[in-house]
Amino acid sequence: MADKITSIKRMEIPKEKIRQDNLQEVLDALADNKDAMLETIRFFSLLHKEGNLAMINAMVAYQETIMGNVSYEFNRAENGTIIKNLFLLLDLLGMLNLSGVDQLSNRLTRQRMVEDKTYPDVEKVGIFDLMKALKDPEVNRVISILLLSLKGVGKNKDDKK
Amino acid sequence: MGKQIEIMIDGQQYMADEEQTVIQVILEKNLDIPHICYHEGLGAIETCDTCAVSINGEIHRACGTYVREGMNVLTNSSEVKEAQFKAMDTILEHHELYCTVCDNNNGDCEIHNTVRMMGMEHQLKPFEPKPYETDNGFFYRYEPDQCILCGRCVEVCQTVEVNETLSIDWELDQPRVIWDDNVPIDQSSCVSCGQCVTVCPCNALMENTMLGEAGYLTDIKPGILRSMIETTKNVETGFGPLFAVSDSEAKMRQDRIKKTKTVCTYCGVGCSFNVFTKGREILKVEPELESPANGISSCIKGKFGWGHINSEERLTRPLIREGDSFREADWDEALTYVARRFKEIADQNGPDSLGFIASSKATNEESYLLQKFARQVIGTNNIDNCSRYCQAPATKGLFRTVGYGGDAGSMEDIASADLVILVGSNTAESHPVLASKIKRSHKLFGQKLIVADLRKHEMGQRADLYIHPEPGTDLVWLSAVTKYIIDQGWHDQEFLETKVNGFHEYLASLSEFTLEAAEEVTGISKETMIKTAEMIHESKKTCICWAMGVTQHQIGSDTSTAISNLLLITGNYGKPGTGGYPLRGHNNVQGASDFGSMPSYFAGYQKISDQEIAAKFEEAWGTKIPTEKGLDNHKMVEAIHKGSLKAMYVTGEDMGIVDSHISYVTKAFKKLEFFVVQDMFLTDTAQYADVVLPASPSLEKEGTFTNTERRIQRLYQALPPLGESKPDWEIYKALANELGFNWDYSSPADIMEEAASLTPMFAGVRYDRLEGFESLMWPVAEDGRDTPLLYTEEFHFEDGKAKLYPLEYTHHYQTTEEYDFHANNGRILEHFHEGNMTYHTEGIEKKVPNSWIEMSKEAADELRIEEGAKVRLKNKAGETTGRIHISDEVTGKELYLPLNDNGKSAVNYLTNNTVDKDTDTPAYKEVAVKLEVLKEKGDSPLPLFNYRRGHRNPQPGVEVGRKWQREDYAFPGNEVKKNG
Ligand code: SF4
Ligand code: SF4
Ligand code: SF4
Ligand code: FES
Repeated sequence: MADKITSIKRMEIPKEKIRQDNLQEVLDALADNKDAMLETIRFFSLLHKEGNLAMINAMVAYQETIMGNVSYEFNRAENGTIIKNLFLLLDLLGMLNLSGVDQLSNRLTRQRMVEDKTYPDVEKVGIFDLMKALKDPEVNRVISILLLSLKGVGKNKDDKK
Repeated sequence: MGKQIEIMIDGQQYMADEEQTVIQVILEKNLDIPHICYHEGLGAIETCDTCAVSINGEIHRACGTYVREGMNVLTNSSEVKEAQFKAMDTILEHHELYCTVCDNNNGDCEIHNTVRMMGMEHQLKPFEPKPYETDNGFFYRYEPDQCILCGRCVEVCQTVEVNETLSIDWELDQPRVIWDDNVPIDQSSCVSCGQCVTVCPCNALMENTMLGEAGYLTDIKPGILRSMIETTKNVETGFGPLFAVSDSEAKMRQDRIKKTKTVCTYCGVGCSFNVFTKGREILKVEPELESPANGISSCIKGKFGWGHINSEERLTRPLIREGDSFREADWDEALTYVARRFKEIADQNGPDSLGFIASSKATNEESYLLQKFARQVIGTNNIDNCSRYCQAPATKGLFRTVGYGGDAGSMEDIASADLVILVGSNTAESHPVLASKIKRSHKLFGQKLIVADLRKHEMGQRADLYIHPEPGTDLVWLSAVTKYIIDQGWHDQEFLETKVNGFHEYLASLSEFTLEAAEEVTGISKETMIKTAEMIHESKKTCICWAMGVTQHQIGSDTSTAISNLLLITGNYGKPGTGGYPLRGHNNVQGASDFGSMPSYFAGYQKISDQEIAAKFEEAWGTKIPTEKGLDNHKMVEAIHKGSLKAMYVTGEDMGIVDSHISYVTKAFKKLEFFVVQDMFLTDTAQYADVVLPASPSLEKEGTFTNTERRIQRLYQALPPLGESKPDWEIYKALANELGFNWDYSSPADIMEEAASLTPMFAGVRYDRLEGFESLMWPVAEDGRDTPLLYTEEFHFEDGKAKLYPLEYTHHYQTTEEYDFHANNGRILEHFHEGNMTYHTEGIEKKVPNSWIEMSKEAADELRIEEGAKVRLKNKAGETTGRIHISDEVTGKELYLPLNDNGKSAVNYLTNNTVDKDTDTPAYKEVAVKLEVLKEKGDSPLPLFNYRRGHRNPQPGVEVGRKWQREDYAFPGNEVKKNG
């Protein structure tokens, strides 16, 4: 004789066990992504050496605000210090193949006939490979802010010419 | 296929088919051409003008022009470019490019890609917002500011889904897409099929689940978003750098957004999709052109109904009954316990004291494994699946007459028939995507439609001829029509002579089915029956589809047989566009039976009583298998009451609510010595269990499903199992091994390999032949050839000939003076069945929070009650209460009770133990009740934002002509000419 029942006594899992499991999960992930993790560490130590890691940290913590500020700055149309700094930072790290970007913009102008040439391969820019390595969405998001500034960068380059 | 002709494109010579348009040829040859409104699944819409090409010196739309011999096409001249740019300018006037912060920028935004491809840098006309608010529906939102008025959404809604909700109001000062006669999405007739969202080339229509989720930068507060959009525009030197950034960001999205092919877990249409996930979140479900059963189509459940996957109510650990509650246990403990009890009971009372129920929601591989478990590990044929509840009678009818228990052809055949007859099927709600195919053929291609149903539902309203039979009398009118056809000499004599046995005997059996007698029994006029016969006679190709309105009767098998007889008499088998189609309910109802979860068959309908076959399985499995037929699920419940069945293992089936006569079934559960239930949720049934094993749903496992067309399709794993839940096949494997068998399948592919090797019907079914959107329709020969259309060569009997099966009409279900209302029941569009999966999706729950009782105006007037009245329905089996919705779909004293609900109105409190005499399928559709009014009126049970309250707005399509007539419109091609 079994009557209908609905109550469930949940399994008590000791805190220690949960900790263990979580730790194991992290270790597994690390081991599975060894190369990517090493890349990441190299990337961060580089940032650290240049003194920019703290800035990124801060950006992670205040991303919403920064995003607003960045946009505000951008909107003032004068290419303010932030853009310049980011530009310097990225250039410094030597990870961006900026020539590809401005070629793209220069070549394909409306006035010209479309030539039968392939587009420069923007995907190969070094930083994107690193991006892949950065699985943490928060960090990724900050890096994206940097990326956004690229547009400003593009303009900078144009101006120089 | 039309004539092959030669044309020139940019100085190169190409072969083309006369029936192709210029754009089709250009795309087929992999040449580049901008095209925003053209979509392969929709054809030419001609709204965007971006596909301008020069044809023999004049600018035309490539999508709207058919190729002709010697045509000279230029896609690259400066004139052409100028016209294309002008067209694009107009589009961008309606669409702001802020790709990096747009949720649609996933590498497949068609505007983004086209602008990029054209190498367009600047736009001459500035973006102009429209004076309309965003419309946020429950499932998707419309952003007028981003809408480029391409009209794809309108085209799909009017001609593919054929729900006829959308149109563009071209005469407005600022044209826009409107729902019905311009009401908000949620107050319209929109059935939330999501197809407009699927085909929208940009972010004007987006799934809510995508918003703020897809991009790295899209989850931002509106104010900041606005300023970022400004930023994007301010610092821009042109679109080039913007695209460099946004393309890179789109690439980054790919890194965290996973796209997995899956097959719908709901109905038997078997739609396949790509599901986009981010972590455990389901961002969107996207049907693809190459989806074999559905193309770009879907319904509300497949597109949006995935709330069950991450529901908090999911079971994540095995449960073991202890006193008056369940205790969560680990797998080891649960499996050991189950194995020990199964063994004890089998040892004590014999293997036949155990019974097994496979799930029609689980995969083919899982059906195969559970029947193997029952037969090999336990040693009993007491194995069945839920097709008993709905589909066994149809299968029986086909076995008797044509030999294979499946649809005669594919849905393409149904779509291409001259005449479609629907019997007892509310197709538009139960098999929505199939219904759309019929509606499309009917609306656009002159297909004729006859609907026989108690309710004049959407299909009935659209039909050329609607037939209302007395409940349960379909056999009679079908036979009378058949007799009339023979009497007129309209039967297909050659077909009958060469391909069919038993004509004379059958003819003799028809003698009692005169039109007069039939009119008397069915209430259908002679004229209507004659009209039906004439329509069949006038059509070269007829398909008949039927569903539970036929099968869930005491004579369900006989009625199914009568349908097949009629098709044989008129020669409607074995040719494209013909055949009998029992519409399977659950996603894998077909597969669950195909793969052996039946008391008298192994996989592929191989008889257990056949010694040779039994020997084959005994050798493969290394055990003795009993040759006696096992118990079907109705008999299992009976056997529990009798005391001979002691233990049951029910998987993925809420028998305690879906079986007829609930109280009889639940009383049986209580009597079981040991009861194991395997499910995602603690269902009603599970609440009676001794052990509940947590199973994983379709998105969390691999396997194959077989749809109503006999089409086998693969699903891939999109997510890891939630918590400690496991795919059913892994649970079966673990249990078998616990009981000392050495099952070493490492994946469902191994299981399929074994099943295929033992089953001639699936000989050539292999995973590598089913990759991605590939599919196979059984029978599949060893070399991989499949069979979309059955019986082209011969019927599935020894001598290759079909059999006419004589029938008589003995039974007549009727309401009585005391029980004077007929309580018809069935599914509704939004919920699947009783709703234990779909209720977990918030939008669905809001649109249809509860069930109702549909009543005719006539009956309501007689009872002096109004919308929202509360009533009690009662008969000898039980009682239920509910609120009235007055509807003109039902007539007289026929009520309709939707199946969805987990509360009191469960119609199965009213069903009793009567079953189809041939298959034991419960006669769910034969319920007479008496009605007691509890309250005369009240709040309507139907929410205000339910599509049933909307008013469709049928249109032929986008009606681009109205756009061309606008003062402010000029074809860019002409402008270029003028300037040049
Ligand atoms: S019914 Fe609704 S969701 Fe489906 S295409 Fe029409 S408007 Fe879109
Ligand atoms: S909402 Fe409709 S008309 Fe507007 S862009 Fe999307 S598909 Fe085209
Ligand atoms: S429920 Fe049926 S029609 Fe709807 S998406 Fe799923 S398979 Fe297609
Ligand atoms: S693609 Fe031809 S007009 Fe839009």
